[in-house]
Amino acid sequence: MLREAFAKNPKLAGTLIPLTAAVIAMQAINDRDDMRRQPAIEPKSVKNAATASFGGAGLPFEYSLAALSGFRQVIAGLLWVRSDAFFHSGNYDAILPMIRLITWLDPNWLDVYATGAWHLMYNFTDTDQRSDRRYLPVGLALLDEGIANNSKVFDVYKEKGWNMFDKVRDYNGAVKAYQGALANDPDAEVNQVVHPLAHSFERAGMVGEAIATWDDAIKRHQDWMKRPGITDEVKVRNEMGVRNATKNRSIMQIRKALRPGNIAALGQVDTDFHVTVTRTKSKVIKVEGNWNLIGSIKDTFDAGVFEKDGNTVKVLGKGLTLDGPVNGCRVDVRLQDEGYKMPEFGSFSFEVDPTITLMQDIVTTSGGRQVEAGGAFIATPRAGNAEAIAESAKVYNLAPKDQAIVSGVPVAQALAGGATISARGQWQLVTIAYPKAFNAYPRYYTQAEIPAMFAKLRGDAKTIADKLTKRNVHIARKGMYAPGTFRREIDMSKDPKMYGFKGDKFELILSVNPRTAPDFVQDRIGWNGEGWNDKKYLDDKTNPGVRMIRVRIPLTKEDILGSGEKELFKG
Amino acid sequence: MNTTMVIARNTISEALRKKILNAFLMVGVVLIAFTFIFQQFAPRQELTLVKGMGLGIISLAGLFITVILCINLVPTEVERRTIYTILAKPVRRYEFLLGKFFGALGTLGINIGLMGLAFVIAVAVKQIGAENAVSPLILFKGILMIAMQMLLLAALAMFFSTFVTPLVNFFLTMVLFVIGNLSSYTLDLAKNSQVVIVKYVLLGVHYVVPNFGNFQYTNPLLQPDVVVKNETLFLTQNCAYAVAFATALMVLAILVFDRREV
Amino acid sequence: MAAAIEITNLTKQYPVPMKREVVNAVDDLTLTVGEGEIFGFLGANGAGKTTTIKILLGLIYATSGDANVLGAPAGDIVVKHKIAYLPESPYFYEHMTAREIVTFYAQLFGMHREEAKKKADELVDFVGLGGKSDVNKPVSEFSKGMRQRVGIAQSLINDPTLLFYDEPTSGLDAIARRDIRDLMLELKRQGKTMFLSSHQLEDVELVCHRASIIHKGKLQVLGTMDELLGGERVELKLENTPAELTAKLSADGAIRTGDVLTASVLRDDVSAVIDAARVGNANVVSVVPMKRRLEDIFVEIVGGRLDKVSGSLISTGDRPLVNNDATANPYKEIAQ
Repeated sequence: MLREAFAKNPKLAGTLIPLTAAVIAMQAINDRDDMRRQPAIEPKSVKNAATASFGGAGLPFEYSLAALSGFRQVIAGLLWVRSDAFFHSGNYDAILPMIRLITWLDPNWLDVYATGAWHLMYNFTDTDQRSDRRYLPVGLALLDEGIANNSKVFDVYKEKGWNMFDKVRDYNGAVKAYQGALANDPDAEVNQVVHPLAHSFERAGMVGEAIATWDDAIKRHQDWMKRPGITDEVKVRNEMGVRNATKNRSIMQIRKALRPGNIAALGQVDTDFHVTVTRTKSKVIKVEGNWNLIGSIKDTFDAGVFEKDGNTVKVLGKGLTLDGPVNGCRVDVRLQDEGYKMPEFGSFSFEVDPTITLMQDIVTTSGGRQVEAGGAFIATPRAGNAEAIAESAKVYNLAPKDQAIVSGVPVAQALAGGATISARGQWQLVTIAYPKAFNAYPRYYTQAEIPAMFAKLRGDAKTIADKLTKRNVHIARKGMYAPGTFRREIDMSKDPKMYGFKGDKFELILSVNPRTAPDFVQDRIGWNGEGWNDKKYLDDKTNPGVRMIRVRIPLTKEDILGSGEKELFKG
Repeated sequence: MNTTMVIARNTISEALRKKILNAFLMVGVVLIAFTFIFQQFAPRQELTLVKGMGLGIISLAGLFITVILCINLVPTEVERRTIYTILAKPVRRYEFLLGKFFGALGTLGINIGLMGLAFVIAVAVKQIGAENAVSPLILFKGILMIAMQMLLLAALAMFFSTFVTPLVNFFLTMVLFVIGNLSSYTLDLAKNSQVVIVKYVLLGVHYVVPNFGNFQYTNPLLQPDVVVKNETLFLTQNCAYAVAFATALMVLAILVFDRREV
Repeated sequence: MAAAIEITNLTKQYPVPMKREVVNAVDDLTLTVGEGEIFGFLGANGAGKTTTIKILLGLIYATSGDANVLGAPAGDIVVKHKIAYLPESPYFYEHMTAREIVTFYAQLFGMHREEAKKKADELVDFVGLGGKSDVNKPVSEFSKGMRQRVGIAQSLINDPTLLFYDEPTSGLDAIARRDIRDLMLELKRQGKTMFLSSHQLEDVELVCHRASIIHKGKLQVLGTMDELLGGERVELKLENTPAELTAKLSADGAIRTGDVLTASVLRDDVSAVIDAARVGNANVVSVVPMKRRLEDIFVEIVGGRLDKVSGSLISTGDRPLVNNDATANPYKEIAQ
């Protein structure tokens, strides 16, 4: 029939040729990724064709079927209500299939990727709220999928950046994520993307880049404020952003200018890291130790240095690094299968390998204290952190045991001649008695100012009484030093599903990364640990360019699962 | 051409009286109006919900109206023998077929237009007092894409109606609609296939079956942050594709119908 | 007389589903219809009448042979301006009124809407549907007769030269049938050409100039009404018929009522039978020429008694229609 028709109507039949060619050509053009896939008019299916830097995030065929329905977003919304209910009841396992389905149905629902990744990376915990880090690659894979489907908006890049920064602590990865946001979304929110990028650069040890990023942030904020028709809310946000970025830039510039010289001048401190690991009972280990965690007085480096005209930084004088034991630096404690490495980004799945054992905890160091002969201390009935004003003068609380060692004399008595007060001690007393305003310049008293101030203090009975005696300030006759300590009992027996210990060999790793140390510690030891050393445990191989303190303790299954108390390591 | 328009007008007049089509239209309009009640049930922005549901309803109702209308247009005329008195007049076969087709398009235009109007009104009402309200007229882009999709589907159904029964046509058209909506899937499978013959079969399917998936434009309309790289080009391209493919199908339909015995 | 319709060796085959066979719906048909002629095209159900008409209208296509209408191949679009078709039991769009339907069809001839409406009004009134009660009724509420009237109205829109009427009076009551027959007579009077297919053989007898009968797709008879219906037999009533003659006449279907024997005899045999009756001292009560009815021919053809038909008929195939063998006359034997 068709043959006859073609023969009878050759002209009409002939029009089929150009029409067919036009249809095929148009379809070929439409199949180009940038015509139809960016952003997810239709997301990538089956085999992932996402950008190489973000790895695979393939979607299964079932998604495409759902694409037929015009009600995707509605169904996704209804499912999200259900999963919200599961979240509030703590049933996190039930949320995962929902997240899978919702992201299939509505791949542009940014909140689901963010919240889903948060669930995966933060909410799967053991009884003691330790994260199940087996889910980290899965959470990252979900975020990668979100990026692939929404690559022209900054939101999911930002989420990934944050998770890399805070949870995975891969700062180079965080940098990459935030840079991806900026590269693909010219309207990326500056506070949410550029500011954390600068922080990520800093943590990654790229100080120059961090400073340049703060400059960029300021410029972008100013550009935003020049846009016509912006709302008041946006204007205020950007004004605050300019202030924050300016302040942070100054701080970075100061640190960059002052730290290296400061650290060189002070030299390296020997951390003298010690740790004892004890199995107290099956699957319960106790980690305790001590080390010389030294740092400067908080907020003294950038004190007294201010910015002129938003662009120039005037460094006035040197940052003060009155160092001594400090609290706060974290020691990471990680128990894992021997040789475990976090797998590269795979595809999103809510199944994790149940045979993997991975525990990560942190212990903070505290209790470090020192006083020199003639220096000041505060006598307290129990050990503990000194109040801020005392901290700013590096005056430590000493408990009775320590008081006995140093033979302290109450300050009033010492000022009356009952004890020798050293130059440092004088400086300490003056700092506590006559505290400087937070924004004063300089933040601290110079050595030249002390004699006059000290003389004033001697005659100021009221101040002595109110500011010093009331605080139980004493003067030590002898010096003492006690390093900071850490202690934690890690009970893995309550979560057998998470800590299956299926393998035979494990490793317990304790580590301190200078990049994650508080800034008052970095002021003393540097971003890369230049200012510290350890005879036994200094490790500059695991993280090239970074001098970590790292202890690796091999353990067997029996070590962990055995009953009764056993010392597993001491060193 | 006048004869074609006469038949088209008559087709519209007849189609608008069909109870089943009016039922789909009514249901569509009512459901769109009812999207307001769903605000209780989802954490999504209510507006997103209204937009998503509205476009989905128009799409679904449009699908059924198109298929049920077009699969029956020619066969009913033959079965009822009304075609005899028409073709005995100085009416060329292609004029008859095109008249039926344009009449179907006119009917679809009216139906989709009415649903679209109800939808735009619903969105406009929903947006009263809302911050960042966008002009509901933007939603016409989505409605246009649905209309283009239905144009192509109508041409497909008309083509099949020239040589298969309505029942076979129904399943054939629906199956091809499903496959056509999976156009990116067939392309991906083809690209990733290791077996050469399978690769070319899939590519053949991808290019021969109308790519209905091209017209899924809901996402960018629902997500304000989602911006198509070159929207005008994308939309124009889709319209041109629909028109070209529909024209090719109608040419084939004319050729087949020309030799068909009635 | 120029030919309005010329059919030459027309054949239409349909394949038999599931078998490698074909059935000939129209089998090597040849006939001609002159202009101004009312031509009856007769046949049993399924004989091929509608198939032939559809081929002539271009609705279906012949397997072989030719069909020309008004000098152009069947289905020619220009010719369609001059022809009309009334199908058997015509169907129209149910939601439309008679006026709307006729207007619609009128527009298909290229008339503008106003012109078409005016024409529709005329024709609707002409066919008797212009009454107040009927004018706004949709066709779905029409009786069969009213639908037929609508069909006739739409067939007259273009003042056609040639009309194809297929069973125009089928299913109608006597009054409606009479009206339509009168219309056909009027069209005949106007000199229209009509190709009429009908089972109402008395209408065909009345209206048509010529008629043909087809059976199983093949043309069986074709001739003028006179030729088809001309008196070939005579009714003879005889009294006191001699036994031998009675026996022979009875064998041919003669009926005895009391003393009277009523026989139907071929015209050529009448003299011989009367002679035989006189010889046997029978009384000839009456001699009445019997005019044949088309129905008779029809039934004979369809029933297969073809050899009784005589006259200037066209022979089709291997069955002779004309009996030229004088020696076969049995009555001559008696008369001698």
